[in-house]
Amino acid sequence: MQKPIFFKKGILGFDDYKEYVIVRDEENCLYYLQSIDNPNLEFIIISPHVFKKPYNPKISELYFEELGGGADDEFVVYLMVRTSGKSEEITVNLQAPLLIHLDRRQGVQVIVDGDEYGMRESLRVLIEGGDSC
Amino acid sequence: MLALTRKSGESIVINDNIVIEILAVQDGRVKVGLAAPREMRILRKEVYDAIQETNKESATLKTDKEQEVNVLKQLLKK
Repeated sequence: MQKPIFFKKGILGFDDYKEYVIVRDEENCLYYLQSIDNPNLEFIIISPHVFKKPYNPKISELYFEELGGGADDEFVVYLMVRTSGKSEEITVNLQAPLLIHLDRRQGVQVIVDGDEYGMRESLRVLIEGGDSC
Repeated sequence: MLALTRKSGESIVINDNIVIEILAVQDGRVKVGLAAPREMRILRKEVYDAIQETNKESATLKTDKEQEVNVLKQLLKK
């Protein structure tokens, strides 16, 4: 079993849960961020690579330092997906990505500076014309 | 909660290294200046609350969102 990723500060609103594993859905670009401590708690996350436009948020250096620092390519970014029964209403939170240092198994939920990226951006619009997984 | 009354131009110091200054008060709005060590994250609380809210909406209890997850998978299938 993979080693859990430790979110020292938790995920906002879920401060009590610090340890998660990321499970990849082999058939598509989805990942599941599953809480170790609460078997019922799970977030669906996605890599921004499937978006058409590059996702280049301004992430404060402080977040990288919080995870121990390092080169950019040591970190990965995932975005939280809010599901819905209607595909056009599925949204992605671009303003609060998850920044993870894979080797150190540490993560943090970032709050991106500025208002370029919203919290509820349509997934359908984001992936339109983008690469498939 | 500690409540203090301050006039424009007056400040509050917290923990020797955080200074909050009331810069201006006008028309029901208060302009606040903050000086704090750079590793301290300063946010408008509504941003914080909104992210918390969005996170809560995004959390799926594994069983109850199966149908929605299927809609999502369908969308990603191209």
